[in-house]
Amino acid sequence: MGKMIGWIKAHLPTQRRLIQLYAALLYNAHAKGFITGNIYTGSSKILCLPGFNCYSCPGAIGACPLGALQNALAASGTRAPMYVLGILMLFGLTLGRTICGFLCPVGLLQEWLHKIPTPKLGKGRVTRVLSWLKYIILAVFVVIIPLWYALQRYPVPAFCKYICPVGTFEGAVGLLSNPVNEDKFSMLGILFTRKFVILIAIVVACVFVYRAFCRFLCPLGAIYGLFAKVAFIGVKVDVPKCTDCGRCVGHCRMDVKRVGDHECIHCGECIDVCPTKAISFKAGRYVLHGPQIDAAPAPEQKKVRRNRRLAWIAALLVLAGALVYYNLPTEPAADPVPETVVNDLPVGKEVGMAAPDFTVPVYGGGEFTLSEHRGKVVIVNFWATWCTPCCQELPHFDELLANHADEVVIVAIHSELVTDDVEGYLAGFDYQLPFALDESGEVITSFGGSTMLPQTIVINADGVITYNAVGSVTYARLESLLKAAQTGEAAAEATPEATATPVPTATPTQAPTRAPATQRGPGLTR
Amino acid sequence: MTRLLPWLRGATAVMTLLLALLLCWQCIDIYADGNAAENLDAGGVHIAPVYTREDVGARLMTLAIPAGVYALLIAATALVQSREPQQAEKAGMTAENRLRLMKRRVAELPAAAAHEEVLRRNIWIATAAVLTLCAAMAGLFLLNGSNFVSWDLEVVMGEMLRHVAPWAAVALLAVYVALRACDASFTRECEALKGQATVKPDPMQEKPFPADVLRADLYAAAIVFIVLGVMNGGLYDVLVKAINICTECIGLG
Repeated sequence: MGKMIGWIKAHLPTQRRLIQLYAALLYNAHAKGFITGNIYTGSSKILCLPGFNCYSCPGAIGACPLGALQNALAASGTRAPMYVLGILMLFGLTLGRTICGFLCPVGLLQEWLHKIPTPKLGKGRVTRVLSWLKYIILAVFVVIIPLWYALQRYPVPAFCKYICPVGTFEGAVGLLSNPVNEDKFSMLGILFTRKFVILIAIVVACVFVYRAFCRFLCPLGAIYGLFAKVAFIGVKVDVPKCTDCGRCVGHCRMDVKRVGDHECIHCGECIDVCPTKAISFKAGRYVLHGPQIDAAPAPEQKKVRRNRRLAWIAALLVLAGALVYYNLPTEPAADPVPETVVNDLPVGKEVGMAAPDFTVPVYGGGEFTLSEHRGKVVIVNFWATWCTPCCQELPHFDELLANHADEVVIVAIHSELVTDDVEGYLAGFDYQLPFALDESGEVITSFGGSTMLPQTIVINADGVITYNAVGSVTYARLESLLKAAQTGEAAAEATPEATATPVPTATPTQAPTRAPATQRGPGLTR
Repeated sequence: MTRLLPWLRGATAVMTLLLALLLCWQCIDIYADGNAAENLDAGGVHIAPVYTREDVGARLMTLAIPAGVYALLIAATALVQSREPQQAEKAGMTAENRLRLMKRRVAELPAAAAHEEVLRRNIWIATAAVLTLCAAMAGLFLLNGSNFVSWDLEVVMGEMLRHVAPWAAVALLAVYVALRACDASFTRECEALKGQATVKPDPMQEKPFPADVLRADLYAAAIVFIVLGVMNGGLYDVLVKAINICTECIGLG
């Protein structure tokens, strides 16, 4: 019995593990998102979280700092990325890479993966060299590529799109694992396949190498590492006490050269191995954990223990409050489409139903009313200037309109969430498409859309929906959808996947032609 | 039990790799099947979706047995491991640490040790030159806006990898070689210092660094940035991106 108690005591989670778990739960307090299969869309997402947590995770209640940074840089053609830079500086100055050690859910996952009992690869010259890779990734994928494309007003969050395993795991897998999102499977293609393989490779690396993603690939860690020398909270060395014996560095599993350098995640494991008790965890001059506390007189120690208990109680109350607040049952949204019947067909968002009628203001003047175009195939595209695939597929719609002007009516409707000067954006291109604005978000909701863009709807000449899906479409796909609508068929399946065969008429390899600088964009009539 | 543990760990490692390969293989196989000629129409458009929930579910079911075996293996290894006496991790000391420690106790550096110091400085100068060259060569591509004009990001990324990855690899290799050469130099210098007259080392002195001043300045800058960001609409940008799902950004497509 005593042996068992001893074993349990030896395997109890550390304070750090509890804080990591706490942070992961707090960041993902919108637990009902995992049941409803949708993300949280409340106002707390205005705040960036300190740790790495994809904002497309159904549980996330805040914004991912890295995703926000890339998007801010991608929008820097029109607006300097002040807010995100300021927030990152604030986090870096206050906590530095203590965030990686204590407040990052991805760090927690990596440490759990590393607990799988296999032979482990220790640190060495190779890992030390690889630890510089994250700085290259930061420079190229997070800064340079989004900035270059910002000049073309094309948002490209390159790290999210090509590398980020967190987005794949928390966002894509998190959403797809819910049966509600069954239709989203039709969007998957080469991008998912590639990112899934990257995710698995990183997971395997984390099993064998301690915090492999954090050490070699994570650009957020690279950013916080820049604040190593000035971070307020973290592991500090009392230099006069230090004998430079190197036991701390030898014990550490990260690629540190010194305690507290840019690779140090301030986990505090070195505190106990220091023979001269020179290392402690401090906030400024106040010792949070270290030999000074252990050596303090009993009343002092009691006070520290009481403070810690109070801090935990407060933290747990916050977590409980967050869990209650974010998971309160909400009133089911009223069906925006009235129960009506057109031509013996019910009006709705599904394929085979009559499309709900709408009127939207058009940039350049006038209005677009769906029912006025009965007798022709109508393609409705929901897009936004801040949506990468939306911007990328606009030329395909323009091309289709140019080639089939007599057969099809196309309208590109901007989401009600306007962060950019849409007219200014459109003035940069010579699209012939009519662009409109879904002012209240009612139109996209009536077609079953909500948080995912782009969305394309094809309505045949009789006003019946033949295709309604979220995801990018290619020119070839659009032509095939048009043909299906003309022959009166519903598109067999929603397959907005990139085609394997290049289509000569489409021009996806070039940016759309820019209009002369003097050309003014049309104004929106309200 | 002690003898069994390395075997169990080895088996878990093999199963980890095997399961990962199976997962990747299934994923790639679904993609290949979806892009087979029979699933493409004349225009190259998919007739049926590449991925479906049913297909993915069925493929995952085929991995149920290996996954079960893997879980059992992990449990068994963890159980055996937990019964073993916990070994205190050895605090390994690098040659650089050992040298630093020795140097503090040596009254006067011998010529051989001084030579090693010069050698290491030269190694890092040479490495810095190689790194500068690599950065310049990669920069030629990365800082040329005409390389980032196409909206076909697959092509852009391919080109970027072709032009930048080799230089990044050379840079990392140069650092590796330099580290290796320096470690050898540290060891040689340690040998040279053996048997030298020792003195009691002085307590280490903290290098003056105005952290408090710098921190205060940067805090002020951060707050100014945040206020400006709120004023210029950056805050709303973050919200809009966070409450919508960019399907490509999370790998959906």
